[in-house]
Amino acid sequence: MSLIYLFLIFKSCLDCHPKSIRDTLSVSIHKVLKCSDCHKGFANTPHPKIKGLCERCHSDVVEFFKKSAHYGKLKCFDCHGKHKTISFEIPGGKLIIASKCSGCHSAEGENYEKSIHFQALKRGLKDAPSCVDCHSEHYILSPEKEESPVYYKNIPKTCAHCHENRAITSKYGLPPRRYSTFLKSYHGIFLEEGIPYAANCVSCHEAHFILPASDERSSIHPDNLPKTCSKCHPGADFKFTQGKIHVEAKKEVSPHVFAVRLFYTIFISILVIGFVIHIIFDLLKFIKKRRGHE
Amino acid sequence: MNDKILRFSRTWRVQHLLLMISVFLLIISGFSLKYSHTAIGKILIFLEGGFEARGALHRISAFLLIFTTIYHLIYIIFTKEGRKEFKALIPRKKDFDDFIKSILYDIGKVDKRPEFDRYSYKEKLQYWTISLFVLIMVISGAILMFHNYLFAVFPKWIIDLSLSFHSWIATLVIIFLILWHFYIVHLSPENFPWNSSFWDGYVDEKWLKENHYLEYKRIKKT
Repeated sequence: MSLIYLFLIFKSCLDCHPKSIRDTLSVSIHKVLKCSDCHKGFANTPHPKIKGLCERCHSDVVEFFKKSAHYGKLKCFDCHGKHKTISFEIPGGKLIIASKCSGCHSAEGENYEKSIHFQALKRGLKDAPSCVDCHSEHYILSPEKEESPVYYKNIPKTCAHCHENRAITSKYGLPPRRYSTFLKSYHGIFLEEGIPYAANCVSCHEAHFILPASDERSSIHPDNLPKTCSKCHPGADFKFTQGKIHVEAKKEVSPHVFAVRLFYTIFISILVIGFVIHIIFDLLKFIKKRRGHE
Repeated sequence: MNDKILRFSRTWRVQHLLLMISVFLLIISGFSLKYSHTAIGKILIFLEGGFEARGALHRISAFLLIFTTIYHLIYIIFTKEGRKEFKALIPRKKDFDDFIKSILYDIGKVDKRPEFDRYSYKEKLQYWTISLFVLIMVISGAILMFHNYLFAVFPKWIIDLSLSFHSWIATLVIIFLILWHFYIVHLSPENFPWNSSFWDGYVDEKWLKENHYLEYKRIKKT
């Protein structure tokens, strides 16, 4: 029924416009819409100019987009297409997003496509992030803006969505608690205190070219660590790289710190108990002596 | 009977005062770093004039502590009075016996308290513990302060180890100062509410007779 209706509507538009538009629209997410749903007031020629087209239905999203860095530079259809509007929430949708962004941000895109995040996406792991998972979807801001998820102070929290998430780290065998161990380090404390030169995640792991330490090209591969660390700590050479950066007082991670903590926990407990017993006995003796004198 | 006796000389008191000020500043500026995410840490950082001022304060206090240590070393090596004081602080077998006797006295097995000389085992323990603490804190603190130079010399785990030692010893110092030092010198029944000799150097003759009988006897003889 609706198809016939659709056909009728198209018929009048398609008198002038190429039929390929109909074919494109029929594969898009908007296939149930009529031409006039978007092209309002087009019954007469010449057609009026289209204004506020997407906003009619997607006002919430457009609201965000209007505050983003792309507003005024990009139009909705630059990313979403004109008639072939598709949902990105399909299998492989994240890969399409990455290719769309790479269209303009080619250097970032090139680096991202070498990263473990992209490789994981390509292998079909849908938890792996594409551009929008870190930069947000429509409300994309410059990294210099404080509300941006990639503002230097917000980066650790952005990465923490996955790398501090037990469900994800255990599912993919990733090292856990990357965020909490970072926060406890000097880097983390300084960043929390708003010291701008403090290292955040991307200072060492790169922003787009993120690879695991086992990959030779990675900035955190043991061979490359001296170069990475000496960006801020001149003289940090191979000696320095013995030991973990994300320190955790655990036998497997940082055995020395673990031993010190274990020793002091026991030692201080015994000491406190000893001191308290000493004070109690001292006071009891004093009270006893006083009573004896009276 | 209640005459005053000079127990601590002026240099002795000045050294104690410098130690007290530097350790107090080190504790609050260090505590506020370790607990920078808590409310009390944030208040302390605010009082110290911000996060970077906190670091400066910690380093200045550390240099004051090192200066005090050097001053003290010169004092105990090159002055007659210092050498005498240091000799009185050396642990002896008597201290261990006194410790056992004190326990026996506390639990009521012995009626008489052990008699102490100028420094009892409790005071010697304070001196040597603080000395050991200062030594560990200065070494680990120096490693942390010059980490950028030492990255080329030490593996990262040595730096981690220093940090771990530094913060645990600090915890220990705070516990030691409150539960042992403050209790013994101020809060214990003999001294309550406080013993002013650290400030003016004088103690009551009665106090000396009760707490350091052997020294009292020696002074009376001369």
